[in-house]
Amino acid sequence: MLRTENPKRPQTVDDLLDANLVAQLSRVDLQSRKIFRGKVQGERRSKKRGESVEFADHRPYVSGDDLRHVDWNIYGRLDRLFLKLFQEEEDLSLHVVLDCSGSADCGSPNKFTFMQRAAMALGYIGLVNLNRVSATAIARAEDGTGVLTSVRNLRGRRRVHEMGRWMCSLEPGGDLPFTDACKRIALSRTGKGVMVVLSDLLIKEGYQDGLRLLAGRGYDLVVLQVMSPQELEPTVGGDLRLRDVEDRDHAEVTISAPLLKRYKKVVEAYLRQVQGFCAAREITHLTVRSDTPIDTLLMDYLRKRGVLR
Amino acid sequence: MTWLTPAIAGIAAAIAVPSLLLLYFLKLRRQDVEISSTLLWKKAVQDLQANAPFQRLRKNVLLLLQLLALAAVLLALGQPQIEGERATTGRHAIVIDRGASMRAVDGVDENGNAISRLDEAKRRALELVETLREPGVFGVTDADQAMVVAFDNTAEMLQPFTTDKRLLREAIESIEPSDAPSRLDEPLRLVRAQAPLQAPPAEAEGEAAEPLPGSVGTIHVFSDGRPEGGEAVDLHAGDEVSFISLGQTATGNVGITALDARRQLRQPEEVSVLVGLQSTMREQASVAVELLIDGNTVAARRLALPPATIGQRTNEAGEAGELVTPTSSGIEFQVRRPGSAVIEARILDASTGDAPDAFDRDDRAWVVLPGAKRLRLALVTYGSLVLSEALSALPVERVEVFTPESFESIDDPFSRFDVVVLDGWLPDAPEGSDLGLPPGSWLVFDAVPTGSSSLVDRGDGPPSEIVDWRRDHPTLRGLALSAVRLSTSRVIETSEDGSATVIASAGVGPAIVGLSSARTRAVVVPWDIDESNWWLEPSFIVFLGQSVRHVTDGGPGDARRASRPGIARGETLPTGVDTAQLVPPAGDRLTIAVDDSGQAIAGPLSEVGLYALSWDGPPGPSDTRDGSRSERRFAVNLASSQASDITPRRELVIRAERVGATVEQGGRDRAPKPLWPWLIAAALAVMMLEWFVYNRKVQI
Repeated sequence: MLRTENPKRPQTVDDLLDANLVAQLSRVDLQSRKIFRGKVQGERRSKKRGESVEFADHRPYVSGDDLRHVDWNIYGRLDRLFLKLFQEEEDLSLHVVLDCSGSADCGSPNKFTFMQRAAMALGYIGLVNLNRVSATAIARAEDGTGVLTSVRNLRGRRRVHEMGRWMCSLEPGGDLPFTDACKRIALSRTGKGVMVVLSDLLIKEGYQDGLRLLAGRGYDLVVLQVMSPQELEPTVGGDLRLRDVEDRDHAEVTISAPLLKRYKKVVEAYLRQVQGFCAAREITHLTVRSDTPIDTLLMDYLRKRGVLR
Repeated sequence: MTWLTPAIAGIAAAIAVPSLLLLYFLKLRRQDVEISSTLLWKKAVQDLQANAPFQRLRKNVLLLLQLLALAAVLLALGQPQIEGERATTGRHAIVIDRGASMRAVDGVDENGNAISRLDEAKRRALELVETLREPGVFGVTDADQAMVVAFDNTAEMLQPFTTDKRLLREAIESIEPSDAPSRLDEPLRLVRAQAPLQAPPAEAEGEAAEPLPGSVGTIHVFSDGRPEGGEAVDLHAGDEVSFISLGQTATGNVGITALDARRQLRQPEEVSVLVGLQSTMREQASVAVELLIDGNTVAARRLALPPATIGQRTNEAGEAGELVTPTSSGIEFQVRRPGSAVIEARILDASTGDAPDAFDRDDRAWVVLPGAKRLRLALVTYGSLVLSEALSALPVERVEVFTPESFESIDDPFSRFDVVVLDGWLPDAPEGSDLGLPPGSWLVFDAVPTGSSSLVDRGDGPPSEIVDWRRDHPTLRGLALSAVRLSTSRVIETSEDGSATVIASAGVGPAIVGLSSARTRAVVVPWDIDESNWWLEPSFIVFLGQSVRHVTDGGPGDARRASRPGIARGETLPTGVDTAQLVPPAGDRLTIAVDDSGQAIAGPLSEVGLYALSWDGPPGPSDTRDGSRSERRFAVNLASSQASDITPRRELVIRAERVGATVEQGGRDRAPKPLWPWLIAAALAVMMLEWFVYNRKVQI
């Protein structure tokens, strides 16, 4: 909950991904509940019948079909033209949206560091499985918009370091015009795929419009709501003036047992509200504490929810 | 209800109440903390406020509680107390009788246990102390002062005026009973001596501007009304006397009022023991009188004492009261006892064998009877027929008559004789002798020993007569010398150093003189007995007998005189004794210095019983000897009809005014009750409630 004083930021990819994690990540791949049409041939089995070596089906020949795909054996046997259909393998687009606002730079362990590591791990999975990986950091930029910076269409293991450098260059701060940021991402996004939003969703203007925009574009949207342990179970006490790191708004509170009890109920209600909102829009929602090990998040939580396989 | 410190409470209120309001209106200084988002906190606070009813009033409730707690504290600062019934003045003298009759056990405490009158007096006095106004927490108020005096026949100030209740309680609880009779004059004078000085009246200012003792306040006398002597006390007009009467009127008593033992003149081993008894019982008292010799019962006899006569009397105020006239009786025992003995008489209830009454101090009495030894006398004379005949009439072992020359040839006359009687002749005194006589016990007639500091002889004087004599002196006890005429007197002068005591005086000066030093004791009759008519009087023989006893430390044969409690006892010890040890019936032994005249003064002896006086040195004729130490025992008996009458009186006579007993009241109900502890408790309770409310609320 409290702002992290002098957080230790990752400097290299190795700070974000350690060797053990990399070894584990090599065994998993992204999975989407929706089937998307990829831009280039990838390693993903597509609904489309395509040109891979894996046989899928036959269908009758119609005018205009590529004669190279006619199954001449069947023609010889039945004297009718059938086309031989193969499984098409496509690439998958992964878009990681990273909350880079001031509220993310709070908590112990630091929420933003946790988000960086989770985003890097997901990006790594995408890259090594030859998916197209994009990433966008959202916070109020100098021009007032909600998108800070982004990397686009990275593909292949060789781009891991490029993505790592980008990830390490991020510095959280400022407020977050979430709706504006989502709108820009939705408009700029070409193609469809899996989008993972990493944020605490402590957004005073509301998270609903932003997520609605992203969900409306047909993404397989996954929201990882990262909360620090202190936000879920506060340990502060006394007469306090609580100051918001983003908008400098303040709340004067006298921490008492009834207030703490009420606060926990509010937090629970808020998380339930987000969950309900996401469920209604087929958005995968997961609340993650920032002290959760990354491998547990990936190998356990995300696998169970079908984000990874 | 009174307020002890209203000013302090007012000042504190003037400061504290505005301060509280100011603090309340000032915002609490809060610690700044940066957090990720105030979104959820605000929502929680709003929820909490929305859920709390009367949220607009809630701040006021907190303020109200704080003001309530503050008000309770401020009220406590004022030290209110509920006044009980209490005396009007701020000074109280607590005077407690601890005399013998206060030992009577005729009261009952809260638990139903029997307690003595003194215990009851202490209990009532402690209750009185509780009613006194305390100085308060800040000590700025006029608190009640009190002093504690305990008395029997002397008064003892146990605690001067103080406001400290603890000291007063300790002083009261320290009072121990005594066996001495009580007198009221001394304690009242002692209390009066503590009166504060006041400025003299305006009209007297011109003459003597010295301040005069003012009123001492209220004098609370806790007694059974037996003490007398109050009529001689001069109290201040402002002094108020409150008499708290103790004891039950119906309490009767049977006691030994006299005990004496005498050897028969011709058969000294036969002893008559006379026991005098008195009863104030309202019914016939049947008692068993036991006689013990050296702790062994030798005789016992039953005796029925008729009931006391209960009459009516009316005091000056017209109030009727009872007048109890005791009945007396006596019983005589005959025992055979050649040697010395301690004879004890004891009375018991004839039927139960227990103590016969509520007062046990007069149920036993002792008398010390020396052995039946007879004295040996030497008479040194040129031929006085009067003296030789008179001395031979005394119950002594033998009287040997010497001429001065034959007496001088005896080396150590006091190894053969107990007393030497000199008639018209004096032996040579050793060099530097104070008294003009060698060490020993002497009766001197018709001669004047002129030592360095005793008597001065002025020669024969004119005819004279005895005009004054000391009736209390052991040599003249019970005698009248008014008929004694001297045809030729002797003019002597006594020195002023105290070694010579004038026992009787004639018109020309001292007629009989006692001399005493550490080793010499003498009675000097400087004129010639033959030249007077005294030898014709019976008093002469008695004087001779008593003088012989006096110079031999009391003399053997008769019972040693018993003392009364409360007075000092002087014992004349043999010559050469410097210190002696006194062993009382209970308690530690005391060392007593023997003065120049050979007297060991012990006391005042406050306890009845058997005392023993022992010393290193030769024993007197009636003393016992144990190894190198000599011992003399004597008894202290209550043995008085007045002391045995313990019927309480309901009024005291103080300076011709009768002070009736104060009506009994429950002391604890009269005590002022301070309210501040309750107010502090209330303030604490309100603060706890306020804390609870504070924890339930949140301010934004």
